[in-house]
Amino acid sequence: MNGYIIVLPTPTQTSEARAKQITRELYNISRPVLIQAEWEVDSAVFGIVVHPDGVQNALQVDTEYLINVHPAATLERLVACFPELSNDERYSLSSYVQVNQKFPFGHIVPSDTTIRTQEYMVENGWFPDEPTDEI
Amino acid sequence: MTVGKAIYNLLLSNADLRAIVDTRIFPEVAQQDAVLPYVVYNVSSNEPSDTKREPSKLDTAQIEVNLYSTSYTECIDMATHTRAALDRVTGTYSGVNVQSIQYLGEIIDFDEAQRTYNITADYDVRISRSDFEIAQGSPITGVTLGELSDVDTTGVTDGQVLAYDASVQEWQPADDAGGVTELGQLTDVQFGQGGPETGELLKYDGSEWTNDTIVKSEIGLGNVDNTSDANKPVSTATQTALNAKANSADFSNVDNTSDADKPVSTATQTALNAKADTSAVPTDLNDLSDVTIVGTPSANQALIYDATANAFKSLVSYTNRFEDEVETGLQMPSVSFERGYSVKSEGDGIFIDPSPDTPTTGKVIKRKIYHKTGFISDADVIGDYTLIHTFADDTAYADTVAVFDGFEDGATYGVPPFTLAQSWEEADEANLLLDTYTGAAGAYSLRKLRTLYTGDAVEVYNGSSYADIGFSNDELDTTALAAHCGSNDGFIRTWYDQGTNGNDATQSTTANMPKIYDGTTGVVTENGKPAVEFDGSDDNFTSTISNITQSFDVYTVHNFNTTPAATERLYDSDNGGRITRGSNSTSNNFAFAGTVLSWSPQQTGQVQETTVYSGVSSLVRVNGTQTASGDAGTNSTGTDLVIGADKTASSQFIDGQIQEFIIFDNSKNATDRSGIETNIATFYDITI
Repeated sequence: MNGYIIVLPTPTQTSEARAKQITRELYNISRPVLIQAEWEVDSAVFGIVVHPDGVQNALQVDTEYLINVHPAATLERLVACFPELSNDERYSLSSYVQVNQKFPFGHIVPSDTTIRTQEYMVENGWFPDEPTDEI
Repeated sequence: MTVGKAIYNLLLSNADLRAIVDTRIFPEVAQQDAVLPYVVYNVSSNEPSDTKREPSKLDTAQIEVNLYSTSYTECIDMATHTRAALDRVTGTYSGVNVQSIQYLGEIIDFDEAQRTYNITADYDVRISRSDFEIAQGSPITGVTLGELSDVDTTGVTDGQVLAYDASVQEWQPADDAGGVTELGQLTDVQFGQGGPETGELLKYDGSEWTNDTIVKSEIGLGNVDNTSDANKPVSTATQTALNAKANSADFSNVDNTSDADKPVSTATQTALNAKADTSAVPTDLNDLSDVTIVGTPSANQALIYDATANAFKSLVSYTNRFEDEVETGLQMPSVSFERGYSVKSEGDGIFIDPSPDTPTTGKVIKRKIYHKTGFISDADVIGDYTLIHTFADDTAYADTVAVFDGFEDGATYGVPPFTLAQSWEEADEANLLLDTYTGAAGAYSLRKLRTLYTGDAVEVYNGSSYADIGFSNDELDTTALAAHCGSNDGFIRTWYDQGTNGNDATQSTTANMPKIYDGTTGVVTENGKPAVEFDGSDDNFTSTISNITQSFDVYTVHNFNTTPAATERLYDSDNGGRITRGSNSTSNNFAFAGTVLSWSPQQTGQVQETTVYSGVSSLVRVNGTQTASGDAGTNSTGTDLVIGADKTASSQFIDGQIQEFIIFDNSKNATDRSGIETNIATFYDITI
């Protein structure tokens, strides 16, 4: 399923910074920093959509997208992206990732996270209408 | 009473006791001012063991050792050390043969007057007066030979010696056996009657020595003549005969034989026989047995050794001496040579074996001339050589000869040694699309588009690693692609630009990378050829193509999977005004560069499409047929171009496949345009 996850800011991170960190840390699961080439410094798994208000950011996600787990992957930074999770939920998330060689992204989406549709995003002004002189 | 000497020796030799009393060991009574502690010993009795036959050989003495000390403990230590020094001791000490000492007992007392402790110890001492046992380290004095146990000197007389009697195991007196005192008494010496006379010698006759005279011949002096020549006697008869002879000085110049009859000594004749016959000495090279010269040699001929004939032969020229070296030296890995020339001071070598002039289908023949300083060697590799001339493709060998000769004859690259080599190879004919039609600003395909392009087609992410996938037979190397992806899906991070500008199309977000390989079904294809699949959700590339101004052409092979319900864009770029190609549910297909140019019906399925952006003369051709024309506007591209989504790369994603995407920044004429379309359609099996 394709959709969007609107990333809420935390007391210590803006929506943009947090969205970038999540998608970046997801990438690091498959390609830990220690094996990355120089050109991978900005590589990520999911794209980010910025609301015209310039504040809100959303991850453009595919819940079926398979994320491979590299043997040298460390999960602390990914787990740290979800401060709202309880310790049990963090442990479950970490354990799940560690015991699977690959997993669909949708399996680690927190249960209280809502995946928004394209229509929802359009209706809420994420993709404003194009100028009338353009197609 | 010699026992006292032995006791003193033993006590004084005990280091522990000496450590306490030093030398204060006194017989019978201590000196008056002796310092405590000290030892006093005395012999209280000495009883002999007499026998009827001889005096006692064993005395038994009883001694008493008194130890004095102001310390009770020290006094006891002294008694302990004393007992260690005496009890059960055997040996000869100070010349006294102690057979044994036995400790009898001791008592301790306190002398009130002296305020000292006193231990009195008694010992029996057995003194042997016959046999001796020698204690280690003890000097022996006062002992006679006869007193030794294995020596019996009874009845010995002057001049006798000791002889060992094994039966009784004793040394006993015996007369000296003596020996002969005169030569004649020896058994192998036999003097003649009356004995030897003055001047006689001993002479061995094979069995014994006898007295005899001797002559000079018997001792090898038979030829001795001890007179001078002048003093040698001449007989009267001899002298008379000599007197009758003539004086030889009178015949010094006599020559009374002919030359032919003159005598020759044997040695002289032998030496003469060994001399060569001058008439047989060769004067020409050809006279030599291992030289063969046919006719009169001409200029520049040389003698060359022919191993087969085992002879030197005159050859027409000295050139090509190293033919074999050149032929083997040209056998370099991965390079084929048809002509070589190498020269050094000793001669040169030539190899000529022209390769075909007709190339195989789809190939061209390339001939090149290489040079190196130095003579050729078997270890040469092409890297040792410098390319000095490249012939035009498909130049015939005959047309290369003069050029090669020019380098050879002119020794263009210096004096010998040097080497020239002409290579031959077949290369792919430059007949790919971009070989013929140049000027691509960006060219993305899953087939090879340009012969001289040496890069890869795509860079693929398999979920955990990246790999470049190139071409095999000018098409995507699907074997390498499958090997890299295995059971994982493969996604394209980079779609390489096969033009000359390096305007690669990339996607760094893995979920947004278009798919090229499915872990279950294999390579993504469309109409049998590999295709890049865009999922319609987020997949797209961004190319660095920038600021392409009109007129320019875009050639694509693509398909929309379904009729879009909302806008989907094949490409989009913004330079203040868009240039884009898309499809939607209302306007159907459109091209836009400031003005909408649209056509219908909606296209689904694979098509070859040409879009010419040329202001009011813009047009669109689908599968070789013009389907729209008119004003598309005059916008140029922005600093980049998004493929598969809108200009922001965040929406309006295409749900379909793209197999080829080429932008020419110089709009082609109708003929070239048709040629390009035909080329593309032929490869992708599209009917136009």
